[in-house]
Amino acid sequence: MSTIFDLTARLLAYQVGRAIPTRRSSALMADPFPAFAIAPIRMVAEQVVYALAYGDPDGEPEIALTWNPLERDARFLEPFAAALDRYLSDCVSAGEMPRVWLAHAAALEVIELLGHRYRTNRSVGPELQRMGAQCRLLAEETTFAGQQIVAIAGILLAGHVATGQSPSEDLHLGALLAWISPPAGTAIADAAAQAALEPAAAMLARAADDRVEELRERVARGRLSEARARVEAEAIIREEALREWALLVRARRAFWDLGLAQGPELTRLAAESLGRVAWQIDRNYGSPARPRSLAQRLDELTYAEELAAYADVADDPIARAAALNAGRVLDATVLQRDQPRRGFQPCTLTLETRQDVLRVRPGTQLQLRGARVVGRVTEVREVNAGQATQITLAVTTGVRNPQLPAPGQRTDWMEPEPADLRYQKRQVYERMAASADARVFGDTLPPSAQLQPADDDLATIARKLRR
Amino acid sequence: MNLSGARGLIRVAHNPTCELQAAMTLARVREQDVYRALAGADYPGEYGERVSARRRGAQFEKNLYKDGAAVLRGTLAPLLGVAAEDLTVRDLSAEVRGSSAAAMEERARRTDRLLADLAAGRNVPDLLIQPQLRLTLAGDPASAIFIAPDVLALDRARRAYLPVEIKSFIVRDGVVAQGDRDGARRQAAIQLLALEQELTPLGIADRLPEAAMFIFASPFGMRPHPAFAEQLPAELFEMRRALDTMAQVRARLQALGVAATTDAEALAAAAPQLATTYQESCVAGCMLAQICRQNAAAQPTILGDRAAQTLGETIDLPRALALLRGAPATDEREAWLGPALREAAALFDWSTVVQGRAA
Repeated sequence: MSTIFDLTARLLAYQVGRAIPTRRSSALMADPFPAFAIAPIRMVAEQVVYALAYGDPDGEPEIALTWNPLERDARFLEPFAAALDRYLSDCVSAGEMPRVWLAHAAALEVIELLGHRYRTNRSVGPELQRMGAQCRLLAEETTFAGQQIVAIAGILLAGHVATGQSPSEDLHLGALLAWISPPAGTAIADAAAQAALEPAAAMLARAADDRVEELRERVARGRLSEARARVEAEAIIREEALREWALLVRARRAFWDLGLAQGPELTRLAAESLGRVAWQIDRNYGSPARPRSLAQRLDELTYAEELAAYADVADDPIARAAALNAGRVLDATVLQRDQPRRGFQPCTLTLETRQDVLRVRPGTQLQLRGARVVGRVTEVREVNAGQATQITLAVTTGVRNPQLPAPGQRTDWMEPEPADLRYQKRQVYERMAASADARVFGDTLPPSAQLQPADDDLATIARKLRR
Repeated sequence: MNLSGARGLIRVAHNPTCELQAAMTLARVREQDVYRALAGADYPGEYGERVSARRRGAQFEKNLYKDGAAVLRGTLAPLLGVAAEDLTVRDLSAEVRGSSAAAMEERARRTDRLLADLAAGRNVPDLLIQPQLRLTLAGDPASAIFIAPDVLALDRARRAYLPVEIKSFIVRDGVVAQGDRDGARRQAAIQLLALEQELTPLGIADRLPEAAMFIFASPFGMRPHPAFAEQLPAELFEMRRALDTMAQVRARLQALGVAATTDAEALAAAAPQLATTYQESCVAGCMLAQICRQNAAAQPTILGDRAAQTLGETIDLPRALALLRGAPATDEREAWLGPALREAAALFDWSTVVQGRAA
């Protein structure tokens, strides 16, 4: 969101004393049934897992825990590994998108570390290695813009509402939720500050942490029996895991209670997300490491970024207004339509806008919002002493489309849907791999070819190359 | 938690216009005591390093230092360009145990002797574990604080020691989390300043590069990630500015008749006369943040640094809301801001928002 939109939203939230929605459509597709949720608890600094509460977020969680993760015995994770594998495998084999809910970025960090530690760890069995691979897969999926599989409640909420506090304060999920569902009888800033006193970062509360540390210390010094210490420590850890689970469930409910619309472009984003994850599972969770696979990953990331930006503007009126404010969307009235034969090329539209910020020039491609009508700008001129701008647009796609706008109609134009060139790029990479080009696959660069002295200027060289 | 030492300086560097914070660092008072004196109650949240974090940090260092610092030598050897078995080590924490003032003084004396040997061209160890340096704050020798780098490593070619900062934070995919890295870089910058102060009278401060070495942990137990060196010009600039702030605040305290070494009560009594600059980062690091936030209730900074930058120093939140409702502008900034706010506000769906109290 732009600075002025963010500021305005925060000012309004500050004035009314509760969060206000900053989108009218959801960036997340509705949950499939069932969804899966994970609420981890880690040991601070060591970053090893004390506990995982997991399962259907609409039901009671299962809890896998250890009172002493420093022992490096990971067998307590096996029931979680089995449940996660069953959930992902069932979804993917049925062609359905999985949905994994996490509370906040700290929980994602724990999942990512599980991936690092167990994916290729030979001291654990294949079940935990698969769990590591699946955790890494989920963490990697979050790097794709618009992904629909991992829902991180805190990040989602912060992307859909504005509060009357600072973005840093929003990072605490409890404080953010206080602004979304303010408790009665307390000033909202006080309620948020109060909520922020309790950790919401996949860790034990301070008193619980100190007590568990003390129990382990006393066992190590022979002052307490291990059985007794274990019972008390496990009860503490279980309670803390349930606290994190409750926070996650509350945040998920708060998100769906925003009641935002589901835009049509979400279907595309979901299909992309499912395709990526299914492909990774199919090829046994390999991670890109070679030039070809790394280049493909970069293409995937770039395409996801473009598609998510397109979906935001297409689906959400507020995102669209922000884009209009930045000149990336054109709000224009059709002055004239020149189409000598109805339903055929050529077809030229003359548009007029009074927008202050415009980012169009001859050559810019524009798509009519919500329709397969695309054109290329051929001329931009100021009229009425700079009070308005007229744009000539040659329609390249959609001349037969019934939604082709008529004179007098007010229209929204935006950047066209991004071109998906991944297949073509993959073919290029295959050729490149087959030729084993030293410039890509070698460790050193080949000696440069003798350059011919060129008398031509760059424009002439470019013309010759185009022939 | 006492704010003296590197921790306090880093906090001052984050917010150099906050006089109260600099005064707490100068006075070496406990932050929670100042909170209690100002709020009339104990701080309700958690503060201080957790036992588990302290244990992990201590174990990680112990693992590096054991067996003649075998792991430490192996980790630093590629950076120093010397075979691990050829690196010589002196462990001052083993020679002089404890954290009492006397122990720190003794380690500082031994460090001084080694630095003098370095200046005189005599043999010195390649790795100096837990040395003790002194850093003078506010230009007053009486205000000197101890700065203890984890290790000083000798660059044989340059004949200079470089600080080595050891952190048990985990490196994933070769990347250190931004916050962890920033903190370590600032700590190393303070150590460089302290080294510079120590080396200046010896005439070899010009050998000191603006760089330090870092050792972080791998995700696997206590194993270190490969060490790396980084240039720190920006952090050194920040820390020098923090030292300037300390000198200014010292003068300010004197002008107010408050002794630099005072107690929390006296400092709290002087607090209304000291500038506090509440900003977004205070929430993450300062125990007094909520008190300052309440005092800044109408200031744009409570909506974040970005909001504060947009509204500037002249437009507070009530004024911004008035402009949003259509109040006439009084200057060029307001003339731009009012319509922009109204245009943006028209997009948000107020009707779904239950009218409540202002925060």
